[in-house]
Amino acid sequence: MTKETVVFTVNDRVEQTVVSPEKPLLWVLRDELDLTGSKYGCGRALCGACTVHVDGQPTRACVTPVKAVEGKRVTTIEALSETELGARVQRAWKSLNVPQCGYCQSGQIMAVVALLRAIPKPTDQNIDEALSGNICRCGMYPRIRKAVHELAAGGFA
Amino acid sequence: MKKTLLRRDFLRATAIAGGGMLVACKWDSDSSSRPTPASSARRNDETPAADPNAERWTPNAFIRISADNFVTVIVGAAEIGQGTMTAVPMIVAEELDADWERVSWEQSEASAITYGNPFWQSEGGLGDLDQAGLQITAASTTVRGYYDSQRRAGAAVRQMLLEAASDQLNVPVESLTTRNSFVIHTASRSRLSYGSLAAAAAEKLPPLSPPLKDPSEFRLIGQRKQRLDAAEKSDGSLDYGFDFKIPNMVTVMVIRAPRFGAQLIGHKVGDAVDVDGFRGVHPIPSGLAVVADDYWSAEQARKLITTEWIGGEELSTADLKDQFDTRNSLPGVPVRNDALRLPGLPSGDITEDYHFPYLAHAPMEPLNVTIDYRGSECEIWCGSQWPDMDQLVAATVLGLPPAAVKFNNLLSGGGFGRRACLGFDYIQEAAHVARVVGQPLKVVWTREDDIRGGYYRPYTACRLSASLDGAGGIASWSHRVASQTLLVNPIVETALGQVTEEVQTSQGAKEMPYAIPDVYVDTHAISNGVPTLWVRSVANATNVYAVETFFDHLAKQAGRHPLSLRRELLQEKPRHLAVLNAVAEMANWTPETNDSLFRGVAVFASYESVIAQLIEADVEKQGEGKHKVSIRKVYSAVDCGTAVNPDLVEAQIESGIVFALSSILFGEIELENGEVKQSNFHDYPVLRMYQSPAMETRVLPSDHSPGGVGELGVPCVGPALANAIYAATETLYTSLPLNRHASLVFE
Ligand code: FES
Ligand code: FES
Repeated sequence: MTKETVVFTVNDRVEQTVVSPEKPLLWVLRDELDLTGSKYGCGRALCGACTVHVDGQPTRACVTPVKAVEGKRVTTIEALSETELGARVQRAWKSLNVPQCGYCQSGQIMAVVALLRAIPKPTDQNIDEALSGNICRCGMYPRIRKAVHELAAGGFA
Repeated sequence: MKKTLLRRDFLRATAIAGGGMLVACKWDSDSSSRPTPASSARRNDETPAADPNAERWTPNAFIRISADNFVTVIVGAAEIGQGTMTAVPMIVAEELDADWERVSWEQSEASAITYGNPFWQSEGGLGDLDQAGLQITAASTTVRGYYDSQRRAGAAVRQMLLEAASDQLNVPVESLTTRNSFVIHTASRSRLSYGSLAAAAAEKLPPLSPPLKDPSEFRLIGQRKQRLDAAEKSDGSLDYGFDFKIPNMVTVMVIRAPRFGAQLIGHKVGDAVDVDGFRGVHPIPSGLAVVADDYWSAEQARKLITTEWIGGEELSTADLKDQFDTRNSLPGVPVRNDALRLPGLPSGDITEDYHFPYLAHAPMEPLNVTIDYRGSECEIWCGSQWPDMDQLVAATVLGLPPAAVKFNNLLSGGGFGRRACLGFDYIQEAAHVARVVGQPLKVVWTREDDIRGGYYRPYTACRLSASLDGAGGIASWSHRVASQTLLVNPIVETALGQVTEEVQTSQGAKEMPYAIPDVYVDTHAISNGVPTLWVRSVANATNVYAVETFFDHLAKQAGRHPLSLRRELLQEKPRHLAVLNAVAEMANWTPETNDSLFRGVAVFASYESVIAQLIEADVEKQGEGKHKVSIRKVYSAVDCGTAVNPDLVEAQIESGIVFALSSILFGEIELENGEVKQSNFHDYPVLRMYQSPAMETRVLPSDHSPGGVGELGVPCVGPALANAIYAATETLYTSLPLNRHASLVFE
């Protein structure tokens, strides 16, 4: 398989990698750039554990060929605390004991930040629509919902 | 089951470099080393005589106090999401009077002797382990198992710190108090930090029975504390096994048998040789190991390799219903026989057959094992619910003494029982791979590997039969269970001999709580080639569904309201009655309620806890005999004794509700001619945000010792929902999952 050079930005750093262009972004992040905060849960865009932001949009890294992010800005959970909203969401997660096993939570948090950016005061239906792609096998949905509402009300500033 | 009296826990303190202290413990390992009465007395004596057994002690720490006044609690149980790394430190810190802001956790090494859960102390036959207990995190036992010993440990260390302070200040111990990791002498306004006293305290003899706090003095236990592992679970920094890397490591995926038990007879690597990063294949007992540089190259290569298999289990789940029903037409092994009947056919007038499918655990983090085997020694990193046994099994496969295998237990992305595998499949396999691949490696499972990998909750059929007494009560009740046995091999049977009570198929049937004069329960253990395992709440999930829905069916035939009949038949069970009344009150439900909602309730006790759960649903008639069901709210009332951290108790109950709804609504693993049909979350769906109902959970106050909660929230959810549907439709749904019934539409 032929390799190509792909240049993109990850957490504000320019990365240049020589890879086969169809290699999913998730495995470039995890195995080449050592950013393991984005998780593997299904590999088929079914669970959301691998959610990252590509130019601010929540994206399933497990099915995104690295070539598709050429020239784009990728943000992962590792850099999230650098934004005010990201840090607030993480504070909410800690104080409301949202994580159980925690394995889904990178993806949940990335999805929540994207939701709150797009819709600062989401309704329950907005939450259902934005977060139903993110499975939490530990079943922390009620807490995630509560955290989103409290964040929307200005909590955890 | 809990035999705290058998346990002799000896504490031993050592000074550590830099002025801290390390408190180690060692269980009394055989009867010859048990202290004679004289030596026991010496332990209570002020004279610090040398311990004749000193060389037998191994310094496995479980409390560490550093000179800068930080306390680390080393936890033997596994963290699979349930909050172990917070609850156990809270118990220790409570009696130690430690400053919670300066308490942290550490996962212990694998060692049943030191870190085994006292809950699993055995009656004999396991040598050292009889006294120690297995280091298994299962059956909701962490808090209830470790509670007493961790309290005593914390209290003993506090006592030693007090004695050290008394020496230093030259005042009597009685004049000293403790608070937030300081010893305080009020009269002289002196405050000495635990850290500054630790080295001197390490010289003191640990008291055998230190005084424990009265629950009214608790400052931590009962508080809604933040999880100690919340930060690293919110910023992506926690390394799960899947993330863990060691230098020079390759990635291995295994092509496993397409039918359970099939043998690999050939393979063709084919175009895989062209995959960049592909390194080769090795036949191993479980299949063909595909070795590559990383995840993606392993996955790409694996797709291109073809394999040939022979034999294996050719079962189709569609055939199981008849098979199991036939078995249930024959008498089983009686496990409860209140009226001393002749074992035989249950002879009620009302009979129902129930059927429950295979289920996969599907923890969020798929299985994986990182292993570095260097010939004479080996190191393993793996999230495990049973580290001591996984260590032993790996050592056996590698032909090493267990001590040569260092097992690092990692925090797991969920377990639900899959990471305490009675077949030890993933750990054996990884050890086999390590033997043939001469370098450090990680065996990773994809989601497809996980869903198709077996070790399912067993397929189960129940036959319930009862007679009414004609006066609004139930005269007789019988419950027959046919299920696959979980005790798959003799080692496990020995290890868990005394535990079989907990895992056998009758769990939840035998304990049927209602006052009925003639109760009879028997079981059939069926075996076939599909590997099965405990899944969160084990047989309770199926048996309680049958018991509680059959109960509502009987109440209907008897012309009784399900709530009134439950109250009447639970008069002798005050804890059941209390949670039942609490949940009815929360939902504002009485036998007189007459509104447009439909409600169902179920009650269940196990793990030394009791729960009642009530579901409110809208059930709307649609055309063609269909009903549309939407769950409005799930109420839970819980009596789990002392709730060490009520917020984490609530989290566990809510987690249990979501887990249960996943299986009740759509959980099913099917086999066709031996091949598993499901493979990933599209055909093995689990509950998502939009399907997750509102919940309200109340933890009832109690001073009793703690009960388990990890599985408690699971068994009642299904029957509560089915009973709400029954109230609306008068249809008793006796097979799961519910979405397989064309007459039900869920919203
Ligand atoms: S791993 Fe990408 S959606 Fe599941
Ligand atoms: S916290 Fe475990 S899967 Fe979400």
